[in-house]
Amino acid sequence: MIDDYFYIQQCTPYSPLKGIVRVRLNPDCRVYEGHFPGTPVSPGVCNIEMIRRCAEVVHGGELRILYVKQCRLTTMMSPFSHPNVDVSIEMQEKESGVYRLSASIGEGDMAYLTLKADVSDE
Amino acid sequence: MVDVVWSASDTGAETGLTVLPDNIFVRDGVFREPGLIEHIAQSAAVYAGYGTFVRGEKPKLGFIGEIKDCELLILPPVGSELHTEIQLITEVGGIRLIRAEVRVNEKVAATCQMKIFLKDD
Amino acid sequence: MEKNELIAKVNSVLAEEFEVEESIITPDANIKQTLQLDSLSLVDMVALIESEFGVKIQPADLAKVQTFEALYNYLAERV
Repeated sequence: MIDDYFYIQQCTPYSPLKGIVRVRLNPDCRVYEGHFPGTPVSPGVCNIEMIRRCAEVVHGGELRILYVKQCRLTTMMSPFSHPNVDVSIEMQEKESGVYRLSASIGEGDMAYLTLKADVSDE
Repeated sequence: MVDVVWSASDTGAETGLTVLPDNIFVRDGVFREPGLIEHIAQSAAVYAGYGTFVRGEKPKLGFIGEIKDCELLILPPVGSELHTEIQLITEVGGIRLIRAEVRVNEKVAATCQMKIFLKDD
Repeated sequence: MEKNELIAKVNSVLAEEFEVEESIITPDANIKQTLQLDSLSLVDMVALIESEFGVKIQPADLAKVQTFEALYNYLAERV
């Protein structure tokens, strides 16, 4: 798994279910060799994976994505146009060990990607 | 994230992928959630590319606008052969809505809807 | 399908999909504003109408179908 897609700069957990993680996108990650040659665009699925990993940091344990209810990719991102972004995490327990995750990647009031998904403790 | 195209037409495509150990979405011997979604997105790109290919046009860049109602039921282990069906549901204002089903050993591993933009040059 | 039956079905499937109260759907109301549709969710509406009523709203017609009344009439002519 790509481990150098982003680096955590700062994590502000409000609770094990809520927090904001400031990350820096790595322009040297090898996904940009293919996505796309000469036109780096942060892949949507890598951003979803980044949300999952940030949610794990806030939550303090591994999480598996069971279901993506909706994920909207409204703004094209890249490490050049958006080197630093905030990943906001909010989880609500639906049943034991299963959570509805509402997350976004953005800056200030601008959301570049929003995600509603069900995740579970792994 | 697609290594074989079984069929492609105006209304859909069938693709495949064998999960290799060095796939960037493999962790601990298992093809993870983003890998399944990327495989679906690239299968949809195969479908879109087929259309431009038969019309003799240059391939266009395509982007996912939305992922919806996506069940990730099985995380396939390394060595699994994914067999994926893409179906066009509708197209409105340059946005295509497709439905995908990924099977591994005849079992449904993932189902998903995706909206895709094709960028005109 | 009777027209009032069609109207009731249109209202209920749209209200459920776009999570609005059915009572805010009135014949004169603008569809996009009422259901808060953008270009992506407009695709969902077209797909939903197609699967529920078997009618594909043609791209050229989409601009004309602004209100719920226009949508009812569009479907009534084709169902």
